[in-house]
Amino acid sequence: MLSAFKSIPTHMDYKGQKLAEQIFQGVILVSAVIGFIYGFTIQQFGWTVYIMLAGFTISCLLTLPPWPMYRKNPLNWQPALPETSGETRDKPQENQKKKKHK
Amino acid sequence: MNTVLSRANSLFAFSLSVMAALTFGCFITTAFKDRSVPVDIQVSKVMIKNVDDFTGPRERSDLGFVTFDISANLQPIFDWNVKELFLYLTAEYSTKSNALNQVVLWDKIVLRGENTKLNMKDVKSKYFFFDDGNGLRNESVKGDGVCESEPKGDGICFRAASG
Repeated sequence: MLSAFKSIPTHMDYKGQKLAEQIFQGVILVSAVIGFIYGFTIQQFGWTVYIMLAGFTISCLLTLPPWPMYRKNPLNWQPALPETSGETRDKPQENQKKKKHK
Repeated sequence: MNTVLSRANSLFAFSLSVMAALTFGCFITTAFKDRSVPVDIQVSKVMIKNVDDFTGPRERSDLGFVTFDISANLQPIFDWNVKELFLYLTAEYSTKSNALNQVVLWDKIVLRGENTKLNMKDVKSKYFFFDDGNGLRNESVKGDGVCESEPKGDGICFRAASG
């Protein structure tokens, strides 16, 4: 079960992360201000908390899943090196690591 | 902010900080209000006996029985930072042995949302009105209604009503 969850891609690129952070901070601050004014008007702090929780849920939905708008500037990774030379270089390093652990 | 968990972590921590700031704002808007309300207290019957004082050292002390009427409107005190009100009635007087005595005669808890108009007639005192000594005879006793409010945001504030 856990491997199924881990295989879902959840990454965002850097500009997307910045956008997500701005979005959730903005949504929560706006809902806090609205909640404070409404609660002060009707003199019940419970409503302030409810409006804050609604703002929290909206920002969860907007920023937690990796929507496509957060992936508009993907990173340019270097192309992968061909596999054969990579393997021969790795093997002696692995042997050395095993000796160190013993 | 690369994984869902780290995004959820920063979101949750930010919301908690904002909630703390809102609670502080709630406190600031109500902490400096004057919370005294006029209270009308009338005593209908007073009786004093001199009996053995079973609450302390075994001597004969004056025991008073007071029956009173109290009426007040507590609506202005309930703002968004008040969860419940604890009202109590004290009798204040001075005797030869003590300069100031205060005895709590009666108390009541009023929760937010309950009826805020207090109109009680012929209430008997809940607690014993013992004087240590025999000083209650011929003494004029001043009744003081005090109301202590329990707020949501911070510690207990103490406001007095006069009566």
